[in-house]
Amino acid sequence: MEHIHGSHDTILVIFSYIVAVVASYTVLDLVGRISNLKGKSRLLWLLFGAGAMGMGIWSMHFVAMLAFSLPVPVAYNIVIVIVSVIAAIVGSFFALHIVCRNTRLSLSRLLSASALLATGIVAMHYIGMAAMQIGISYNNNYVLLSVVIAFLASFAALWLAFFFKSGEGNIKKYAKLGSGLVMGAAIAGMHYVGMYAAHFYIDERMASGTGVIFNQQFLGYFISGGTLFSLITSLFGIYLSNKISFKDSEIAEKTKEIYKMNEELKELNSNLELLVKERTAQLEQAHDEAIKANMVKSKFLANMSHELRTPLNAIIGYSEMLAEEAEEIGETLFVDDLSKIRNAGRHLLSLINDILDISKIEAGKMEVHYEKVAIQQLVQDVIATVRPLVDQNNNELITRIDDGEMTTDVTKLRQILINLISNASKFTKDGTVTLTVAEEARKAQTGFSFRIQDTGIGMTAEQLEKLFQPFTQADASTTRKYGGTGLGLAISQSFSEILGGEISVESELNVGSTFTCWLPISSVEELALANKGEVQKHEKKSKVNILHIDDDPLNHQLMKHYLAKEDWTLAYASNGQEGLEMARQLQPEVICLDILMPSMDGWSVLTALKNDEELQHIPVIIWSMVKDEPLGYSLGASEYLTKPINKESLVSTLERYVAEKQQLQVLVVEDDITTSELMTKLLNKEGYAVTQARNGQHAIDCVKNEKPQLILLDLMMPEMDGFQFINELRETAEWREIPVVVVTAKTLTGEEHSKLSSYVESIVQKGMFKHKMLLEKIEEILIKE
Amino acid sequence: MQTILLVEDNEMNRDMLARRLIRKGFSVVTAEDGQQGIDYAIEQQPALILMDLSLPVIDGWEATRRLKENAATRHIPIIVLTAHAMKEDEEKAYQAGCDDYDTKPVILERLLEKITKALASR
Repeated sequence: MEHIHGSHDTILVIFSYIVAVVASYTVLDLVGRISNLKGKSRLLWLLFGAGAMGMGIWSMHFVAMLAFSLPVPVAYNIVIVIVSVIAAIVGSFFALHIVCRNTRLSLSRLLSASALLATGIVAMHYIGMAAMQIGISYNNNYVLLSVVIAFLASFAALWLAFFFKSGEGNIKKYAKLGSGLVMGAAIAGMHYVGMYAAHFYIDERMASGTGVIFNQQFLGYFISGGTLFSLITSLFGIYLSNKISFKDSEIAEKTKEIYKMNEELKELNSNLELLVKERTAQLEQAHDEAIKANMVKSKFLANMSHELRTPLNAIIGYSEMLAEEAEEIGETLFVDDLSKIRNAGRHLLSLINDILDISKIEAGKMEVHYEKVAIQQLVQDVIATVRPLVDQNNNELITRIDDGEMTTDVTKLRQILINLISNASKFTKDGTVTLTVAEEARKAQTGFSFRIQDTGIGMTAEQLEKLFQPFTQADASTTRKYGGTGLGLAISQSFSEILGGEISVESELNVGSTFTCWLPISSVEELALANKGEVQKHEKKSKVNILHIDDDPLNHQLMKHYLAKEDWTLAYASNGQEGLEMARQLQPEVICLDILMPSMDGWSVLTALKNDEELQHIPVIIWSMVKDEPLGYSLGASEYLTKPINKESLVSTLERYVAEKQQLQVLVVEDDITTSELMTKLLNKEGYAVTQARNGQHAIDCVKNEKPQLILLDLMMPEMDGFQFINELRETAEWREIPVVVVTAKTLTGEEHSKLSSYVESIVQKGMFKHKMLLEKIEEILIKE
Repeated sequence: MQTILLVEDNEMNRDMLARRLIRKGFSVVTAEDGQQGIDYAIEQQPALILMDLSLPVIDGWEATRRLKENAATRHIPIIVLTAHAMKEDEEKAYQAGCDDYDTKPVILERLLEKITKALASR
């Protein structure tokens, strides 16, 4: 047997090592990516990785073989060469498959994967060696060592691969490179140990000449191709997987998020219904409580105001009386002190009034009473009131007034002006206060601006800022020096807002301040009401009938002239007696009544009308020279007009009564006589015919007698209460459409409220409503019908 | 000398206003509750009644209503005098049938004006 000794080419040994490293690195990189994949793509990447790794190991092996040269040419069995490649690939595949499971890598799994990989590498090596057509004998110890090295290298490489697969950033890159170097070294180490174990000798296979003898050139191409394939595969893999896995992981993450959100939504949905129920109950309770609290607050305010006024009445009264008496008996020393007591009392009273106003504003309970007002007249009234204050500081009051008329709440406007002028006078000494009233349009509305300019102490920007807040004055020392609650401006501001206007202010320290209050010429609601009246008039024109009772035929001529365009039928009575008879005959829709008449005056006619069951429902408008509204209203008049009056006012007043309501029957079901009477009076005034019932049973009888157009229903009544009444009413088909307005002092439970809501038009809380509102509601419902 | 019936339950206020009215030349009869007020009004036929609203036994609204229902007292003007400053109270008073309305604390000049007016319209 002829032994042959081979030698290694150093450059190719190094190259083989590099090939091993690149292959290892590729695989390490792939492990991380494959771990995050599922299904088909995972399998594809596994195959790809296994191919790259198997080819890499094999390439290393053959580069190493190229580095090893024997003195004789050696032929290779091509089939066995291919088998060796497959062995490398299969080993790599299973190893990768185990390592790439995305769970914790147990030691036993790592060991079995390492064993598989090592088997693949070792099998590849020795099968590759077997492909050589030359006799080889092995040193068993070295073979064993090569197997151990292959196993340890596989173990280290796979462990590192798993360890680094979830790392981040640059550290991961370097760590991966490191482990690639280790693994490459292990593979190369295994190979060279394996080679060291081999002894070559020439046998009969060489002589038989079977197999392929690779020439060096061919081998070079082949190995370069394998290496190139390994490299390109790795680069391409890294590039692709970078792209795809990023998107994949993003999609996976988003999918996860969506799934989670879906789950949450499902849960929310199932909870929602429950939550809504709960919240509704809470809201209802809160609402009930708020109503209760509001009632308690209003009641408390009313009581407090009453309780404070009573002793104040005594203080002011006694001090005034004593001052008078002291003056009479010549005790002038006391007069000063007594007037101090009186002034303190009056101041206290104004504070109470201010606080009451602020509370009403905050509770939204400030009522507004619109009426027409002549600017000149109003300003003169105001000046008369504030004159003493202006004079007190030796100021001069200059006025420049554009006269005109506006519709607003006179009391509130007066209060605003008094407040602004008295402030100006208070903070100015020996100067001038100028009041300018001018017509001015703002917010596309005509209106009046009231400008109050003073030459007083003025204010800084900081002081201006908190000017309109309740309980703040420019600063605390102001309060000590000038007095006042600091509520006046807050109230004035709120009032002007309630009336649809605004207050603005300009000021300069030590130069003076200018306050401007602008109010619209009439409120938006008033305009809306006027328009509504217009529509009604046209709808019901045909039924019109006015009875005019006046002893002066000239007045009747005037009325006829005024109403010429209105297409209403007029009847005329020249004295009270005749008026009453005609009223009975004609049953007019409205009576227009003079007061000063011979033999039977207007008061007597009005009393007679209101005491006559047949006539009491007819609204009476007093049109007279005599100005005594309280008496008129207390006798039951619906409106009070004082002569002279312009055409528009007369027509617009009549319009409210003519051609509506009179034929409309309202049934008031209420056990409390006072309330029932009050409602009846109110409704009569508006021209409705009213039937009263004291309980549900009684009411049913009334409905049987005559079907009303509307029912006002109390809930808490003896015998048959409101709830039972509604049930009875709904039993009969033809009564079902009668609108019902519940007027109750009862605090309704949520259940009661919803039960009632389905049957009745409206629920009104007693004590929470204003008469005007209730009447408007009734009117609204009846118009709808 | 015209007689004014003052119906007021608060002793101090009753005394104070009575004395001030007497000083102004009126003769004053006082009543401490609504029932007494009605009785005295029928009995004494005053020229005018000043009526407080929060009164014991029968309140001022009810007393006013009864006085205005009664033929014997209907003609007597009633000025309601109250520390209730709420608008609803005023409305309620007018609905009860009073002729005029004034709030406490009394401003004597204002009240005297109302008294004069009420007496004149009789």
